[in-house]
Amino acid sequence: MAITATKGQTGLTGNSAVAYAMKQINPDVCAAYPITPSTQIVEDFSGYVADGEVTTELITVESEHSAMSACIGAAAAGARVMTATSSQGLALMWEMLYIASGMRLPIVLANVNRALSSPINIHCDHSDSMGARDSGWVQLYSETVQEAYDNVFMAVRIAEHKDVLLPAMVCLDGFITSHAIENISLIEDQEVRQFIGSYNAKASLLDTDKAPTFGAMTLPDTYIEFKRQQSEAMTRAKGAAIEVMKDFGKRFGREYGLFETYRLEDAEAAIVVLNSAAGTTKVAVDALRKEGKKVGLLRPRLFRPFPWQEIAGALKGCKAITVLDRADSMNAFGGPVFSEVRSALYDLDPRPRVMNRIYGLGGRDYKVKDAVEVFNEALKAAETGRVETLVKYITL
Amino acid sequence: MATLKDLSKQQELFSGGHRLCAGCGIPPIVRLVLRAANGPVVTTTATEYLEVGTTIYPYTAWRCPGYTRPSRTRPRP
Amino acid sequence: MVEKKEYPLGGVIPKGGTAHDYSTGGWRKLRPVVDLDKCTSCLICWVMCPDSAVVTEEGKMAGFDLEHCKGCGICAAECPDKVKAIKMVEEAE
Repeated sequence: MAITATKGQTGLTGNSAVAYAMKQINPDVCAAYPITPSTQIVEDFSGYVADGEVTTELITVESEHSAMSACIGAAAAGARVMTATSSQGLALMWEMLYIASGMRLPIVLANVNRALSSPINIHCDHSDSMGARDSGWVQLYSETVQEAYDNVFMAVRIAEHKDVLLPAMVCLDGFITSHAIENISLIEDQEVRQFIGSYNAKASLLDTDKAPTFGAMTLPDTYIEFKRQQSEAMTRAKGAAIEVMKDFGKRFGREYGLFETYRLEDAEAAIVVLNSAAGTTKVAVDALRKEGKKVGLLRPRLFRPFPWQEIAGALKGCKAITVLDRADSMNAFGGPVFSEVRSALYDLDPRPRVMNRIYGLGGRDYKVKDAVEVFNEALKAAETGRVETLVKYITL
Repeated sequence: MATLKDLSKQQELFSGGHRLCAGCGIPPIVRLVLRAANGPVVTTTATEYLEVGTTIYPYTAWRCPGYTRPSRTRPRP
Repeated sequence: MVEKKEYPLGGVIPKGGTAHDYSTGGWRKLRPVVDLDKCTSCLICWVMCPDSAVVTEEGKMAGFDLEHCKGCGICAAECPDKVKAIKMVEEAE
């Protein structure tokens, strides 16, 4: 029996909610090295381990590189593995992220988005997970604590899906989501177990009969085939995500899609933005709609794989679109979400104007007035068909 | 202590046909290490020529399960 | 159209010891030849061989696996001075 949205409500921070989801999943192994602002995930979870509430083998390691290495070793042995990190921690995992995905190990990682040094900053932006966008991990983004909690379960299912078998990253905004207490609906343990099922790895490092070799060397005669195999799995991950999100909605009453749209149907100008900033943007949408301005929002949830056809389909009625990036690609051509969205819209006819605004780096507040400004600029571009400034920094 | 005669009767966990250089000093060491281990063996090696030369897909010289890690996971002093 | 070959997931070699099927005998310039009348089966050549190419039977030296022997000559060099049962001969001869 699916629980309703009003049952089992409790106030939790984003971090506590993720840790609680991990407790309910009860992974075989968790190897982690705490880092701000994701510290509380590992802290809470180590409490569950110490209290015997989970049977997880918690490996406390000396660095995030080692954390991901231990996760990979455990996953190669056939374990269900989870970890959490942020910012520099994810950066230190870099080398291993590619190995986890290349070895097709469905590790689930909660990444609490935080800016990258230098200068050092512990607050929210998406530089960390955006830098990892090409590492072969499935990426799910979460606006709220509830969504972060729900995404953890969906990430497990998508990662372990027979058509996918890729690691998955659940991203939530540092401090804004990770440290804010929200009243959320919890799923019962029994229902979590039914939803995620059990994981049976295709090959195990502990199989001494078959004696498989993991991490073998491939020469130019085979490497590209393995990469194509991985790429095809990433392509299939979209279908798997749709299937998993549908099943989640059916069981627990909370509907999720590849992205969320807000008052987009007849919008002339739209903002595309990830994570918590969407909440602020929705307030601006409502305010401008009251003034009769046709504005809307699209918030991608699944960023890897990037559902470009669906996003283009949803934005095709808009005349001007501003993509907000909480990370800069440092390519002198805008942020990563901008590049993807603009490319996705290239085939549309008529082709909407697409601009990029870099906002909120290092935790700078993004306020309703910022969103209103962005919308007004986009409405002007929609009217004139001209873009005055393609890329610029806002919230300065 | 086991004699070479005894050891030669054990299963060889490291096969020929690997791509290490002729006369390479590593395989004799690995062969002996594998013989010294009692019970099921799982190996893990950090990337260097031993594993590069012995695990060229689809050929592996190892008759025990193994995992090749990147060099950076090598223990450092 | 070329049929798409199946590759194991994530570059895993699913079964151990497959290198046995790969011949490295062609690398050889010099071939070891053992005089089993002189050989005392001390097995120093067997333990030193980098290519697991010294064949033993019941704890005794029985010859060479020429599919894998790369002709490095370690066996001949390590064969004790008093015995010298292994000679390296030109593969071309």
